[in-house]
Amino acid sequence: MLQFQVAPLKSALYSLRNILVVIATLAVVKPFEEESVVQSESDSGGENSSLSSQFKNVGSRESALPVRIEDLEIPDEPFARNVAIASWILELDEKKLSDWLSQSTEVTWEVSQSTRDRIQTLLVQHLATNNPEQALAFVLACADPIRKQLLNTVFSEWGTRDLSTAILQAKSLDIGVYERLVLLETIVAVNDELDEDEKRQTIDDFREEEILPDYTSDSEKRERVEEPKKEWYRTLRLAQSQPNAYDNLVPIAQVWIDEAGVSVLDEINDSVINYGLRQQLLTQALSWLANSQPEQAFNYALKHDFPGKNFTLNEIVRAWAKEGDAIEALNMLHELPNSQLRRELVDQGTMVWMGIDRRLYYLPSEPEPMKLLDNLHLLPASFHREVSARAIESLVWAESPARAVEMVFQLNENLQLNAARALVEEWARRDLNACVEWVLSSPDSKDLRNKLYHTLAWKLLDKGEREFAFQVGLRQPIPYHGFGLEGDLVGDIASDDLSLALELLPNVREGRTQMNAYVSVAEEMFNRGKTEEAIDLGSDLEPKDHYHFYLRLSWTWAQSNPKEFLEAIEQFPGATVRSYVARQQIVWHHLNEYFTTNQLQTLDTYLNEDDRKFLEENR
Amino acid sequence: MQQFGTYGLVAVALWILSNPGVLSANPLSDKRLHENSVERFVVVYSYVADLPSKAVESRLEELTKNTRQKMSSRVKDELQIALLQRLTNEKPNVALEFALDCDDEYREKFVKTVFDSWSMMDLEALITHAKKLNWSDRNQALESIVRANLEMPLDSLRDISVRLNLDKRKAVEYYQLIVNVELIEDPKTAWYELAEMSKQDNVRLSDNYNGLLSRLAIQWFKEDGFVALDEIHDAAEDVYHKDVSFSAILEFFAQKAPRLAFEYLLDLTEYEYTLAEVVRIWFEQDRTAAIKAVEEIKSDEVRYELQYVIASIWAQREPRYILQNLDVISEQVRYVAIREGIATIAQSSLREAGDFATQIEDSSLRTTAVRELLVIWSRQAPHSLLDWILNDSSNTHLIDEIREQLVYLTLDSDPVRAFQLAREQPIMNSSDTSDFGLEAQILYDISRNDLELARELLADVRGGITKTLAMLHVGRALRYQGDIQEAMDLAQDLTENDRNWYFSFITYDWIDGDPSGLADEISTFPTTETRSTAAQLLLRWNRRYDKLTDQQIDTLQKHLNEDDRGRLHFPW
Repeated sequence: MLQFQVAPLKSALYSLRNILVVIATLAVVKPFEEESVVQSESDSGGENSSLSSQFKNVGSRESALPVRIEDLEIPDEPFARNVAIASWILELDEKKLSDWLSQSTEVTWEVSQSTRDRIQTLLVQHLATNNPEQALAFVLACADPIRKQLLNTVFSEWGTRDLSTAILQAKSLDIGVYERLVLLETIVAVNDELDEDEKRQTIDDFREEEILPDYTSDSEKRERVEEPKKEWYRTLRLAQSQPNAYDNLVPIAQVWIDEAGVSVLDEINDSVINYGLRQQLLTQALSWLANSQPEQAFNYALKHDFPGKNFTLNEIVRAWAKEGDAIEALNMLHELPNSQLRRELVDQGTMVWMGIDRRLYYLPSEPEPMKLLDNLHLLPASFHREVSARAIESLVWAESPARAVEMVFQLNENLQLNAARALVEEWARRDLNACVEWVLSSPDSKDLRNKLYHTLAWKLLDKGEREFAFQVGLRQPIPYHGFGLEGDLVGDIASDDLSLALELLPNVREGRTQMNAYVSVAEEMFNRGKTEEAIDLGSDLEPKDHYHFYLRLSWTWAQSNPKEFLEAIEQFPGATVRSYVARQQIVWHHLNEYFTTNQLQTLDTYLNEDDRKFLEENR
Repeated sequence: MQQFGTYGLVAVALWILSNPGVLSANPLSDKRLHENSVERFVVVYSYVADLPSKAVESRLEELTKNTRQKMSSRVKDELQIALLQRLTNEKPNVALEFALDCDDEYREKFVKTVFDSWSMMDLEALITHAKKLNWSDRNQALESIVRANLEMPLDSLRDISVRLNLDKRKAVEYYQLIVNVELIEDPKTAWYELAEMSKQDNVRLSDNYNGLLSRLAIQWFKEDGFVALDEIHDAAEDVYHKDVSFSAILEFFAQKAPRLAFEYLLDLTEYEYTLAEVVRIWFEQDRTAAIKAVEEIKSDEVRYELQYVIASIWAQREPRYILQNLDVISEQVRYVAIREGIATIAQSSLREAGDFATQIEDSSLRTTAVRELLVIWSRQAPHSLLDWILNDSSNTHLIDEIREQLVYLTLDSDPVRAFQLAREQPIMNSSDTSDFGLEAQILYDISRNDLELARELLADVRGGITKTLAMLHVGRALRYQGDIQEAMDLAQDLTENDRNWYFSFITYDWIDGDPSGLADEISTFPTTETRSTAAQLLLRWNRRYDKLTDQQIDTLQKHLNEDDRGRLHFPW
């Protein structure tokens, strides 16, 4: 089989080059003669004067092209490949083109896919210039993903040469409607006969025929607006009969504001009767304005009442922090009353300033928390605590936990605890073991470490490390309220793993912590229908603690199931305990009324004299 | 580079010979090149191949920075790419630097061009360079590498992804976008390997893995037939995506032989979704045969599911015919046909869909149709929805049925009318929710979106618990934006019980949204009791979450009375 190789042909091509230079020189000297030759050929043979056909006439090298595509030696590197292809592509006639295209799908052709795709694309492109129908037939038989690419190639050529046929063909293809839309866009994009309006109209017509939504971006629409005020009122009227026209109002308003300033918003606001539309327009117009004049947008939103105001403020702050001066934005927020709204706006500004835009969560971001930490002193002091914690949290994943640790201790002392908590929260989420190791061993300040046990223990519990969480809880000294951390942890553990909670109970520290843990476990037993075991659990406690234990146990029980509670109270150990619990239940009943009269009478039978007297005195 | 020059000169010379008119001018400025892509390609690459190496970079810079070029935009585009490809071929580092420094107009295209070439020449050097770049450029590098190395094992491409500091799944994403599975020599092995990779990567729901596995499975089926299908069906349960692949094959097969695919699936109860897809394909090809086959199914459940599919697709294809001839659809699934038919007509005309919906004789099906249309109408033209439905006085009974849905669907576009409609809803037995009037429930949404309007509407809320709930919603919104005193004052006219209820909910809401703010503003609660209750709740919350400062805790403790101190025993 003939091998069409690049290297062996070098010397032959040198010779050919020399000959061609001579011929080319002659051609410069005798252009008119050459022209007449072309003319006469065209007249006599009826052939078109395409370059490829003329090549054949000038000096046929067809014999040099192999019959089999696999005999071409084509480099994979794009430039060398393209140069190689350029050297023979014009010589291909339609028959050879078809043959090669057909061969190009054969699996036996040993060539990289990227080269195969490239050759197919060029062959299809070539074929489409002369015979787009045949090129299309070939492409439609191909499989994705190359099919999509080749379809575009065919219609790109077709649209250049025969616009109306190309459009008709693209519309009638048996493929998805959005794929047809893409082809139409390709066709009009490459066509030079149509002006921009005509191109748009072609696409809009198709969209209407197929009932597709208008996907034109606001920026494209803005470019078309010439007289915003006039177009505003015209579009507003049009929208009464054609609701689709509403979509054009926002870009018109944006251009109008750009030209005439923020005061136009009053006119916009007054001209729109429809509530929902007014909300949509003002929000989008103000968000737009915030890109160039954030302070004006913010002040307008703050001073006017309109639907969607809070959302709009949020959008303005977002734009201000992103496109403008985040420090200025955050300082402006300080003038708002202390509120959840302000806190959320500050958080929004802070995050965006660091490069984290939650609305664009799907886009990759490269946050810069250091930018925020370096400029912390420029922000109002009342924001420092939350803002620095946010920055530290982001630093954990944007740079490294080590860097975050370093920065925590460079903060003012009064900010360190909150920032360190944020650090532990985020670090534990990402690398629990490293975080545990750091908390248990590293912070120099014992006080800080003790406080971080709390955050860490609950994080461990979240991650299913129950026993470890409990052990960490034990490390924390009993806090000011008297409830040791492990007691609260046991309550949570009990709901997931009751037997483990029972195992851990004896290790809980005495006092309020112990009582808290016992009650939590007993409540869980009660929830699981283990009523007797719940009651028995109290017997592990000192008798003096029974009052509190059974009272706490009865708190929710009596309200959720008074009948069952009244049956169980009999089993509470000791008449004085029963009397005390009955007395308190009667007191609470007066607030929420959950016993019937008969049930109250039953409760009354448990009262001793002292408690009866207490009730009479406090009734 | 000599070979480029040789080819280039040959091609240009040939082209010149056939176009004598261009000889006196620069061949690149010939206007015909703008229209003829093949000639453009030949001339451009020939021109670039003939350039001396030294001239490539300067020509590229001149072309990119000097906007006044005497050539067509398409020639310019092609020329830039060709120059950049050649520059990459000779000096990849310089080419990359040039591409990275370009304006946005060119940058993306140029970076891609450089990577496409470089990845064919020196993979290691490219990886070394690319891993220092930003996320988006690293992604482009990976895409080019994958495109150039589709013959490389996918596992190796995933390793390269990791070396570029990208998720290894990215390699699969690009691979599936580019690869032609028909060229894969052994689709069966490739399928198993990818299934194993998806397990390692723990991606059960990724479209990238699903799509590629399905295409591989179909290719395997094309080569081995039902053996492939059976093997995938019998694969171990922990083989990821086996069901998706199995379904893909049957949907592919159904395009050619729907009855066989249908019969194959009929006994496999776990593939109901695939069976439905096959019926859908069959219905499109031979409606009568598909309907008959479904009618003959013995299992009531399966028959219902498939009749559902037929009703749905038929109503989408011929909505007007179906809505006028409901009896052609099995009675059980007429509601589906109605919903689909109305939705389909509504795409082109809401009013026509409305006419169809209100003219349905069966009142239950009519309500179904109207409910379907309400959702679509409120999305497409919310401003005209109420006018349409309320203007027809014969709809009175219907409106009572759909009132709640109507209220919520018009809340954003016309809250005042939505509120009025809500007020007309009787309180007792009005909904499944409670004894609250509907207007109180929607006042929550209104007050979050437009507090001023919510305040105005508050006066028209019905009395009792409805009024109290409405006040609470407005109070919550006031508190949210910092009008705390006003939120507190709002409760003044309530009874003591209602006031306690009001303050406790305000407190819970505050703790949930802004606990630190509550600690700072606790003194705004009007009485010592309410301050004590709020302090107690917040301290219990803090025992669990530990977010307040020592100073805030001290302040809160000072507000506690004896009862609330006792309640601190309860965990949050």
